[in-house]
Amino acid sequence: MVEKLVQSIDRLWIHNESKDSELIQRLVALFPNNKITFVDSQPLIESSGEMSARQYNQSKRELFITPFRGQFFKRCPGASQKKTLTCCNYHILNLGQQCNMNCSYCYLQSYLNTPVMTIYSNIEMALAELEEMTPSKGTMALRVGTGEVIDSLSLDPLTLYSRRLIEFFNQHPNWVLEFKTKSANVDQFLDCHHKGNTVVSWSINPQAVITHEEHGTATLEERLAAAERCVQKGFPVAFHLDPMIYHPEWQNNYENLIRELTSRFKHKDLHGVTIGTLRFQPEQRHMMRERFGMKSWVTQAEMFPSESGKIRYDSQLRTTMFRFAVDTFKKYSDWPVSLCMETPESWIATYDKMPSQMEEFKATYRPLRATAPTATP
Amino acid sequence: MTRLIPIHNCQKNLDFNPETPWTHSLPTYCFENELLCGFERTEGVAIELQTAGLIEAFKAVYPQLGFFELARLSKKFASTPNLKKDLWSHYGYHWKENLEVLIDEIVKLPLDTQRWLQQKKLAPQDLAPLRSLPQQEILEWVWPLMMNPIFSKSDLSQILELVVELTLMEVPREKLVTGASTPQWIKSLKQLRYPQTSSSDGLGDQKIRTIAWPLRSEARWARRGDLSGVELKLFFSHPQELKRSIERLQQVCDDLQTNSAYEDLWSKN
Repeated sequence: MVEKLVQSIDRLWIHNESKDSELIQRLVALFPNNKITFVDSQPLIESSGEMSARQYNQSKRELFITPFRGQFFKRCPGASQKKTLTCCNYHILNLGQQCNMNCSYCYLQSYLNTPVMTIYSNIEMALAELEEMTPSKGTMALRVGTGEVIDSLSLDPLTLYSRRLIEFFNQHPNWVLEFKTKSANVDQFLDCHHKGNTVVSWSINPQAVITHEEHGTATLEERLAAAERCVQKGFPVAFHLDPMIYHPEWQNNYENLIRELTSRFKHKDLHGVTIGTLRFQPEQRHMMRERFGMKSWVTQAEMFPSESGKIRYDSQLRTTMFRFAVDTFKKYSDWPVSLCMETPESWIATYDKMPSQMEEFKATYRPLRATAPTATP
Repeated sequence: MTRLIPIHNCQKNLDFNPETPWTHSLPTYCFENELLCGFERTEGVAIELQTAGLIEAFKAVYPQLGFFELARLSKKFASTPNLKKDLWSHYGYHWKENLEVLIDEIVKLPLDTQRWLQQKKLAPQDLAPLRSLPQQEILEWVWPLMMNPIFSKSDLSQILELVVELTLMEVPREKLVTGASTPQWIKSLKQLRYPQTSSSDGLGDQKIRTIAWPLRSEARWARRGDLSGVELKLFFSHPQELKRSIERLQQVCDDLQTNSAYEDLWSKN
């Protein structure tokens, strides 16, 4: 896997301030010399602002390692839209940005403006930032994900950051760490001792959607097999059917997926299941159209502006899709299913109530006082 | 010291087809033998501007330039990328690769079309769909149809995006021209682009129109972004009339809740 990742990257840019880091010692040993360039500032900055489709495509092949000077730990962007979205108090820890996979709907297409994939070399600063929160938040059931603006695990065979994070969270058993991925890269941390508070989660879709829209990601079978390996080692797993994508045969395909999931995993192994439907910023449509044409189920979808500012499927279609997924999970399991970044109207339409009124979600969705700044997207 | 250079000794490499001809009463200007204006003139002299650079000279002669004029001028600087970036920034635009991609497309449009779109003040973001087409010539048929005074800037940007998307979806051109050059055109393009939603909205409208709404009220099925529903206008000239309307509305409400004919308006199972 490491070799494949190295091959997929055209150039490794290393900020001189990172060169003494543990990460660079490892990467320099993995990458051929002719791919490595040391720099004093961010490379390939010909212009700032939105990237062209060509620049965006190329950014997935340029890896930049640099220290991060800002705040690593933030609240999920859903928290800043409480008037229009129902928030589950998720927190995010950003250890880099951009992704080496290529989903047609990826929101990073409207979010990123740097033409490189970035990994921060100073993970110890990120952990120190978290450590500083121990006195005030040590006993809180803080949920922290690392897969917001970068896939948690797709580049992890290069960085091995998962191992550092698991070790850190072992010292904070009340906190939950979530790796969110569309890869099958788990073997690099499966031997780590853990306290059951590291959740490995997959964004999943039927294989038809993966083939059509989630380019360069692991197949459904590879993801599920990786999840099974995690369960065998005692790691709780989670699944995010997000974004659900309307397509011909969507009901059959999602039913088959849910049947497969519920037959291969047990409720006791599960940290949670969320569902969400396709959504993106309106300006993203141009980049998607340029990069994926109009044969994609995402670009040709019938989408409309919603109150949150993103464009979404017609609200009745969303409700139909949510109800279908929830009912299908009920048909095959007793798994609780929550909605991700959805409006109160969608909760009511799906469950006839808000998550705060539901026993299984009450704790997760309770109002939380501000613990960290909110991320931008 | 101001230098006067005979126009016939000046180069006209920078003729970018300005929107309006250079005013007859104004002198001609040049910068290092490159004519900056009055490109149609063949006689007389040009005043050489003593500015720091060519772009400053342009800015002095043309304090404002439209996007399409800038695009044409920018192409003249193809071999000098720094001058090109400088040009855009002097006129308040942030140069980026996406802008370059767009310029490459729009300068291929017939000059008349460029002028029309400039007159309608279409901005780079309105023209962004053009970046998606592998061959912009595919759209040649659409420009004459768009050059119709009935269309506003918003209409034009909608038409362009719809036509580009439908073209990429391989919808035959004969379907795209149905109702062309009329206000109905956008509606027919939307029906092609959003067939399921248009069909269910159309069905909703039909059903809503069969309901006996209160006297002097208007009801229609409306779409507001991702939501669709009934838009109701009520008029009354006396409180008694309002009371009767409310009573009637209550009956309509009961009917909408209990009559199975209306069930599919609220949920698409």
